[in-house]
Amino acid sequence: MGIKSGRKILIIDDEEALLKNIGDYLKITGYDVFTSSNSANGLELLRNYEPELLLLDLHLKEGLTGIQVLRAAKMLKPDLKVVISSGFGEEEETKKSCFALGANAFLNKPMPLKSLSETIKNLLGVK
Amino acid sequence: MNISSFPYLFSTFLGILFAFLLFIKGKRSAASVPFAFDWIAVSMWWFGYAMMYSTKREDIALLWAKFAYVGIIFIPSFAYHFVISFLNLKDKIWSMILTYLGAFLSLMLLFFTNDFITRLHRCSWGYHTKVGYLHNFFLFYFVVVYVNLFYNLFRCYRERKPISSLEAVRVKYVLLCYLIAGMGSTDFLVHYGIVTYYPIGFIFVLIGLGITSYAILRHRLLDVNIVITRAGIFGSVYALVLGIPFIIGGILKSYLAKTVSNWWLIPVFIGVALASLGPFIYMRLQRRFESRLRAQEFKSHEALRRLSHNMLRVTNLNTLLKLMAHYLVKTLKLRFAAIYLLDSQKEKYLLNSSWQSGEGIELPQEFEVNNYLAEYLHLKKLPVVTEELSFYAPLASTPKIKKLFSDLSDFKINTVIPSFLRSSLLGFFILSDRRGNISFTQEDLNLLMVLSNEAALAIENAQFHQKEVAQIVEKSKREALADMAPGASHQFNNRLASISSSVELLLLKMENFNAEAHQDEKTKALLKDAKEALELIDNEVYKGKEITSAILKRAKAKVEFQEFNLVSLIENTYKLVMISCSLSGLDRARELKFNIISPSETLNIFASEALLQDAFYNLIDNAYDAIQDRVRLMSQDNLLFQGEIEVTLAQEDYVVKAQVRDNGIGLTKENQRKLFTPYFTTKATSNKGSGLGLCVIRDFIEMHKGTIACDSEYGKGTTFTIKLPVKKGET
Repeated sequence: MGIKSGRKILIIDDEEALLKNIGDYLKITGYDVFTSSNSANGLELLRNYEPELLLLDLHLKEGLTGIQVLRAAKMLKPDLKVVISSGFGEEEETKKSCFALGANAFLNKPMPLKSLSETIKNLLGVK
Repeated sequence: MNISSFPYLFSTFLGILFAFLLFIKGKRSAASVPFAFDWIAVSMWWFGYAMMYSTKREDIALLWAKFAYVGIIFIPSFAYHFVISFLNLKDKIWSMILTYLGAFLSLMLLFFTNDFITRLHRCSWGYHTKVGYLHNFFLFYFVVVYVNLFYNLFRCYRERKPISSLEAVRVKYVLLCYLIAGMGSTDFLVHYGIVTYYPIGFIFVLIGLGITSYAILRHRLLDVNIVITRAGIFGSVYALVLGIPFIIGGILKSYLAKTVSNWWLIPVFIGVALASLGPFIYMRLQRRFESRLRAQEFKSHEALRRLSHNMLRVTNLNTLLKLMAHYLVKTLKLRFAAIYLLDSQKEKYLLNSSWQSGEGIELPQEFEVNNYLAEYLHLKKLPVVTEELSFYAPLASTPKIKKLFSDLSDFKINTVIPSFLRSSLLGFFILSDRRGNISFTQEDLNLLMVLSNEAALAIENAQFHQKEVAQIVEKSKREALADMAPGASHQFNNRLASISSSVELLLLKMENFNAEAHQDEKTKALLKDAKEALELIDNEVYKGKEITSAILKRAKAKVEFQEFNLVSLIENTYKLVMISCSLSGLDRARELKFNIISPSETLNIFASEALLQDAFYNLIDNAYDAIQDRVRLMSQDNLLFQGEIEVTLAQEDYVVKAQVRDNGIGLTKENQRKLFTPYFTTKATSNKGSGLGLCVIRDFIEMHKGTIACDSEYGKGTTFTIKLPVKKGET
C-alpha cells in the first residue's frame, strides 16, 4: 500500500489524538501531511507548504473559528480543496454556508477514516 | 252582597286559579286534567253557595243551590278519575265510567225531582240547602266512590312501598290530602239539618286539594313535607287574615250598623288590608318554620354550598374528585357517590372517582359517549331521578327510557346529576339513595345542579392546571436537553472520533503488516483476535454517533406549524426511504409494493412538516426493515412472499388518521409493550437503529396534540395508527 503520491494535505483540528491519528492514517495512505492544532499555526503552514487539500475542524477552541479559517484559506489559495469536519451533528445552515465559502465536502465526526480517505482521493483525483 | 259569602267567593277564585294552572302547566302528567276538572266542580259548589248566601229571594237561592249541587255531584267522579290516572290503574277504567254514570243519575234526580233538594231553610248567614230523601241515594253513591278511592290509594301504597319508597311517599301523600279534603263532607250534616252551623267544609277541601295541586305544579309530587308545611302556613295565615274581618263583622255588626251607614265597608277594608299584608307574613313565617323544620337539610345545603365555593381552589384533579365524592356521601348521607368524566380520546365517560360508605357496590367503569344515560342527560339537561323514570317508563314510547330505568335500578343508582360546561356534557355524578329512605327534594336537586356545574368549572380548572404543570415540566426538560445536547454531543463525538480514528489507524497498520512473514501461529491468532476486537470497537463507535445525533435531533426539534398536503409528504418520504435504502446497499431484490390510500389527492393539515416527515420517514423505514427481516427469517416457507407497505389516510371531523401498515416480521407482545421506551430496538442486525426512533416520533406526534398507537402480530405485520388534529393546535 501507500503509493507515495506526494500530494500535500494540511489538517487543522484541536483534538490532538484525532489530529495525530488522521495524520498517521493519511501518511500511510501516501500523502504528505502537515498537522496543526490551532488556526494561526495552520494558516502559517498553509502559506509555507501550499498543500492541495485542507481538512478543517469547524469548531476550534481558540483563535479563529473554522469558518474564518476557511475564508482565510480560500483567500490565500483559491484552488485549495477543503473538507470540513464537525462534531455538532447535521446543521443544514452551517453546511450551506461552508459550501458557499468554497468547501468541497462536509463530514460529521466521528467519520470512518476509510471514507475520509476515499473522499480525499476523489477530490484530489488520485488514481 | 252578604259577608258570609266572602270565604266562598275567595275560595272560588283560588279554585278557578288552580284549575287554570293545572290545565296550562300540568301537561306532563295525565292525572292533572281530571284534577283540574275536580277543581272546577268544587268551584261551582263554592260559587253557587256564595251566591245563595247573598241572595234575598228564595226562588233564586234555590236555583243557585241546584247550580252548586251540579258541582258537588261531580266532585267524587273527577276525584276518582284523578286517582285512577295517578295510580295508573288501567283495569279500573270501567269502575271509573260507572262513577260518571252515577253522577249523571244524581244530576237527573236533582233536576227532575223535588225530593233531592226539597227547599231552603233560613240560617243566620243566609239561605241554606235542605236535602230530601232522594239525596240519600247520592250520599250512598258518594260514600261508595270515596271508600273505593281510599281503598285504591291504600292498596297501592302497601303494594308499592317495598318497590319504591318515593312512589309510596307520593301515594301516601295524595291519600293524606284526600283524607283532609274528605272532611269537607261534614257539610252534609248541615244539608240534612242535623246540626246548624256555618259550613266550613270548604276549608278542608281547599287545604287538601290545594296541597296536591301545589305539589303537582311545583314539585312533581315530590316534596311532601315542604308542601304540607307551606300549605299549613298559608292556610293559617289566610284563615287569620280572612277570619279577623269576619269576626269583626259578626261581633260588631249591631254596633257598627248604628254608627256607620255602610257598616260592612269596615271589615272589608280591614280584610283587604290584611290580605295585602298576608304574603309578607306568610313569607316571614315560612322562612322561620322551614329553617326550624329543615335545620338538618339547611346544614347539608350549607356544606354543599361551601364545597362549591372552595372547589375552585383545588388544583389537583384527583384530590378534587375524591373530595367531591366524599363530601357528597358525607353531607347527603349517601351509600355511594361516583364521578364520571369524559375522555374525549376514548370517547367514553370513565369512572374517575367514587366514594362508598359501608358495603361495596360494583359500579360500571365506563359509559359510552352515546350511551342512553348520556344521551338523556344531554337532551334534558336536568338531573335524572331513577324513581321518576319509573313513572314515565310505562308511558314512554321509546324502549330507551325503559332500558335506562332498568340499568340505573340494577346499579342502585338513585339520581344522576349532569355536569355541563358550556353546553357540553363534561361528565356526571352518580348518587345512591339516601340512608333512612329520604328522597332528594327539588331544592336538593337544584343545589346539586348548581354544584355540578360549578364542579365542571373546577374540574376544567384542575385539568388545565395539571396540563400546564405537565407542560412546564416537559418544556423545562426539553429546554434543559436543548441547552445541553449540542455541547455534550460535540464533546462526545470528538471522543468517539479519537477512538475510531485510533482504531482505524491501527487496523490500517495491521492490514499493512505482513502477518505471513511471521510464522508464529500464536501471533497470527492474536492478531486475528485483535483485529476482530478493533472492528467491534469501531462499530460501537458509530452506534454511539447515531445516539448523539438522535438526541440532538430531539433537542433541536422546533415546532413550526404550517399548512401542507399530507399525501404528497408521505409520497416524498417513501421515495427518500427508498433512496437511502438503495444507497446503503440494502437488499432490494424483492420489489416492494407501496400504496397510499387517501380520500382525495390533497389532504391538508396544519402541522410541522419537518417533524411529520421525520415521523413518517421512521415509520416507513421501520416497515421496510420489518419486511427485510421477514424475508430473511421466514421466507423459506413462502417463496412467493410479497412485501407491502400501505399508508391509509382518513379524515373524521377534525382528526386525520394515518395508518402505516406493513406485512413484515411484526412484533411480539413483549416488544409491543416496550415499543415507545427510549433506547429500545429490535434491530439486532445493523448498526442502524439507535432505539430513539419511536420515542422521538411519539414526542413529535404529541407536540401536535396527536396520538400514536401500534398494533402488531409477530409473523404477520405491524400497523401504526397516528391521529392528528387538522386545525391549528393551541401551541
